[in-house]
Amino acid sequence: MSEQQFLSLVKQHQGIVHKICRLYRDSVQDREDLFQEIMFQLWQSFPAFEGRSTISSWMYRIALITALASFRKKSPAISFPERLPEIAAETPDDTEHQQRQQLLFALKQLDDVEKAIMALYLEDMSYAAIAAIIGISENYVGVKINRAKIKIQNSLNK
Amino acid sequence: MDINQLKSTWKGMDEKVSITTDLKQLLRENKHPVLKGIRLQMTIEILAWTIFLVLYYDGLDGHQKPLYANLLLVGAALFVLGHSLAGYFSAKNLVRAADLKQSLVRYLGVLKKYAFLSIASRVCVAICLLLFFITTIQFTTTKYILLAGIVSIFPIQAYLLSRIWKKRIEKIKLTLQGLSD
Repeated sequence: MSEQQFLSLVKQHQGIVHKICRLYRDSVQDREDLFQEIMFQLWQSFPAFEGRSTISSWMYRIALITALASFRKKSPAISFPERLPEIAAETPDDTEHQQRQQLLFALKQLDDVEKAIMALYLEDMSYAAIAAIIGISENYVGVKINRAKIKIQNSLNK
Repeated sequence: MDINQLKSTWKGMDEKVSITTDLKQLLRENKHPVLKGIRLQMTIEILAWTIFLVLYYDGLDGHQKPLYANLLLVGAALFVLGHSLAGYFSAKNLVRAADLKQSLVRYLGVLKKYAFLSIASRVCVAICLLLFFITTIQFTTTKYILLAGIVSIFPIQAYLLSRIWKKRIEKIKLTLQGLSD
């Protein structure tokens, strides 16, 4: 498959990469670095993709491996923008946006493995599919999901 | 929020990471954030060692030093460059197996070997440089004290470097613990 075909395929599903970056990195610079790294690893791994799994499962697998194996920069980058961001643009008063922020906050309280499993679970993947991506048994996926759900509910109820 | 609400919120999460580079450019090796850093480090090291090896023979009396000291110095320089090259290839290939757990297990093995190589290359270069400079020195008490001062810096450097690697290895180990039933 050509580079152009790869890009159009990835563009359709790039929301996955954005979500993983937001879930695993806190600073803008770290997220951008991780995004670049994931895109590079996807391209590197693409020749080995045989289409046995869906493109989204494959992208999640590569994105999660990259997020968990790569290291953050030692110190957070501090930027000094010339203009302050519009307050209204940063904190829109809509319920959906607030719910997304709450969910993201709750997910960030989990450990790295729980984050990975919950990201796949929230994407509506079956236990079998999650087990195949993560490399653990279906039973253990169930255990992990139940524990993570309790932690998420506790965070949301705070 | 119930679980269905959580799922629909997750699926609706559409805030994008701000990317300043074109998607196509991100596939290029020269845009990779980590590889870019290693390449820069390697270029600086190659330049520094080339200048040193060109100058040392006359400027630092390389021709008056014993052959073993010269060979050790060149060997140490090659060791450092080889270590950087190994780091480059291990950072380039993070995906090493069909699932996350196996990939991390293999990556941990690579990381441990690379950490050892990293510390060993630094220690080796320090020892070889020291040997090179002291082979023809007539020692006095002051020079011995100076030498002891210089030598005492090596374990501190090695300790600091090993601490960085230990933290990285521990992070992967901790993740793998979370994957053990």
